[in-house]
Amino acid sequence: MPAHIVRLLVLLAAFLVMAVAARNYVLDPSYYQFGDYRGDAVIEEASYPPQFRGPAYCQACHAERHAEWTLGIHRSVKCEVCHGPAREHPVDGPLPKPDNTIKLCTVCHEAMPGRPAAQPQIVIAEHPVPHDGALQCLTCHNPHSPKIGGRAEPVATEAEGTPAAAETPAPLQISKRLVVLTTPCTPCHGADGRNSAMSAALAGSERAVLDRKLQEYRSGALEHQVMNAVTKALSDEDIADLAEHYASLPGGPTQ
Amino acid sequence: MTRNPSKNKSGRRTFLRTAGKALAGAVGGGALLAKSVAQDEHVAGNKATTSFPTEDYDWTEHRWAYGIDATRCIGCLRCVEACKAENGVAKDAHHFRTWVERYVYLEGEEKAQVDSHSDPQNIAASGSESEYRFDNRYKDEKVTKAFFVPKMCNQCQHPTCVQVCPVGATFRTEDGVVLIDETYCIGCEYCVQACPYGARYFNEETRTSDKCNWCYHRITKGLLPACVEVCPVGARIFGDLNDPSSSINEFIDNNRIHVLKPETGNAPTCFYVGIDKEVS
Repeated sequence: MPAHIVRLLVLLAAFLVMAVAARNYVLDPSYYQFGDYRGDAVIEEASYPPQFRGPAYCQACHAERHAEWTLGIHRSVKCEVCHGPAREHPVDGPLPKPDNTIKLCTVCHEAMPGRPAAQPQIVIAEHPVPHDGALQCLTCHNPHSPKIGGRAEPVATEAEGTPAAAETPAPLQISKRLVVLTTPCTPCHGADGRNSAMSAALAGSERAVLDRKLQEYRSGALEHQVMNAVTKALSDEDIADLAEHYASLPGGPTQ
Repeated sequence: MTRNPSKNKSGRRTFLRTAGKALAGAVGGGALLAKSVAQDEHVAGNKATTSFPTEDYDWTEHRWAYGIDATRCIGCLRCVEACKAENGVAKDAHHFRTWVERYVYLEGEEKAQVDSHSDPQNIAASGSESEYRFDNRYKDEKVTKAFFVPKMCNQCQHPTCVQVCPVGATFRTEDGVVLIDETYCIGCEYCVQACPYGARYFNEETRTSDKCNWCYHRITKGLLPACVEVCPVGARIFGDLNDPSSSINEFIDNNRIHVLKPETGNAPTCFYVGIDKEVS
């Protein structure tokens, strides 16, 4: 074989040995294990610790809250949606209790074009209780079961639409003026004034008593965070009409 | 032109034959040598446990897919914040693994107004770049139609991003998720430009590309991706196509589904319900 060919072959062989050695030392051993990528990258990616732990993790310590939540309409909203990722809680500290609930709740419940009709929404400016910041959503609503005046409902099928909307009782035949006046009262006291689950039952009470109490709430003589706020703007005539309306309703316990 | 067999022909033939043999010998020998040194040991190590990538999770048994029901989305953006917390995405208005777009058709207009939560007006409404909410800017307008569309990596079956990666730093796993190898990524951003869905972004901190991977560290532990976990209205559905009773199979069977930009041939495994043709 001619010398120049031999030299060429030696060079070629040397190059090949170098290439193989380089591939061996530079390339990760798991490369080409499954394809043109590093197999170990999959192991690394799968190894990160999860931050969100799920309601079952919370239940281990907060069983009571968990039970209350599973019965309420908010059961599709898991703990960590509002409280943030549990991570290693409680080892690495407490989870936040949201303080600005007006901001947090309206993220989902502010009436907005584009939101499906099934989503419970409020026009903030028209919501019964004035939202000047003094009152938070939590003042009236229990975040773990937010429907006012409603008992926690037993879990039926998986949340389909809004069971709450369908259960609203037929409205009473009252004047337009009274509809407007009673709007802030209804969520707690019920349209029939007979709800005593989280407030005083009004129906069938003495007219004079209702009148006096409303006056006292308005002046601040009687202290109640919600009642003081909702009576602030009422006139004497409004109070008289409201007292007459609730006194005229048939009394008795909620059916 | 006629071909004249030259005198050198037999010489060239011999040379090629010899060279070919030498080459085959060198490659074969070298490759065998190299393999026996390290590669086989390592691969054998990975395959010693029957399942990969973890002991409890075998990726050949799963085929993940994602469903998005835009008719349920309320645009609350809990998914976006959860994704950032779960995956350590930069808490600013420019980096997102998942995001939500709002399409609003105003009366008399044919084209939708599109905005996302990173829009300055929406950032102003939330008051922070790390908290997100949609500004109620259309409340006094005459809106004929409006809806929210969650977006994310479509985990394509024929991913263009994988096609263009020059270093094998992004790839599709056996269970159907496109991953990024941070160690091998050189940050050239070809993939960011190749993605027809704009799902990738450049992570300035790690100097690598980044994107949604369906929370691969969660789904390999039997958990749902963080965005699915926190969605309060069930607009995000995730599951295993190999499991006939999974929520994703139920979603696909009971809905008229379609994918974004089917004309690209990327064959996404994110299936949408309730969006307009205009959404892409």
